[in-house]
Amino acid sequence: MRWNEVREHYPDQWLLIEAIKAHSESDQRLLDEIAVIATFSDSVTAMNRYMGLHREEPQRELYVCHTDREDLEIRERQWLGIRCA
Amino acid sequence: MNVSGWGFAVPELRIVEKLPQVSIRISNKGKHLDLDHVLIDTGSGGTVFSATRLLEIDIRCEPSDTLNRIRGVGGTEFVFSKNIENISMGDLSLTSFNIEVGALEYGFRFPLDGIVGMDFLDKIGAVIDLRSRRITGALP
Repeated sequence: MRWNEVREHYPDQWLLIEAIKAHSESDQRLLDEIAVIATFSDSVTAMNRYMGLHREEPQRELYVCHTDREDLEIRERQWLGIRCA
Repeated sequence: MNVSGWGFAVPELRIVEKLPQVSIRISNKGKHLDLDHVLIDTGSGGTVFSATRLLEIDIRCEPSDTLNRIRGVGGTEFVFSKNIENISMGDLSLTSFNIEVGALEYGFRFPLDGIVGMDFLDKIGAVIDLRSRRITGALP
């Protein structure tokens, strides 16, 4: 689904979504195909589910968001990353 | 944005598993949170804190918060952005500062509450003194 379709199907809810197809464009992450993994009534539960799933399968591209927002507008930032001794 | 001294001690730097850590205090809506395991990272543009820890002072994701994707050597992760009233490291303090909030789980043997990046360090004019294990601010 695209974000506008997701909003129609899941009004006024917190979601954990996965980017099935996405691309980057000038510091923005644009999601072309979205899968809804779960719906929540609050963001804390949604965030906890995200953290659990991210720990198990870090390669999946997941986001927590609310369907009140018209556009996802995901900013992208580069990070060198920590390397422990 | 103001930078002010709170009369606290000069921030101490600890080396944990060969990486520099400091203590950070976050104040928002009348609540304070002291985080003792915050990494200093000049290789990070932004500053990010643990969602689990920030929930202790009721900082949580809200519908209009900016969403971010951080892309690094170790993969990618989702974080949301928050503007907090005050962030301080010892006597070095900033008001109205933007932070990111995320899972912050990188599988280290030591606890990690946050990562202070170049946005914070640059604004306070940080002088990181590894010999004396101190950070001082060098503001105009």
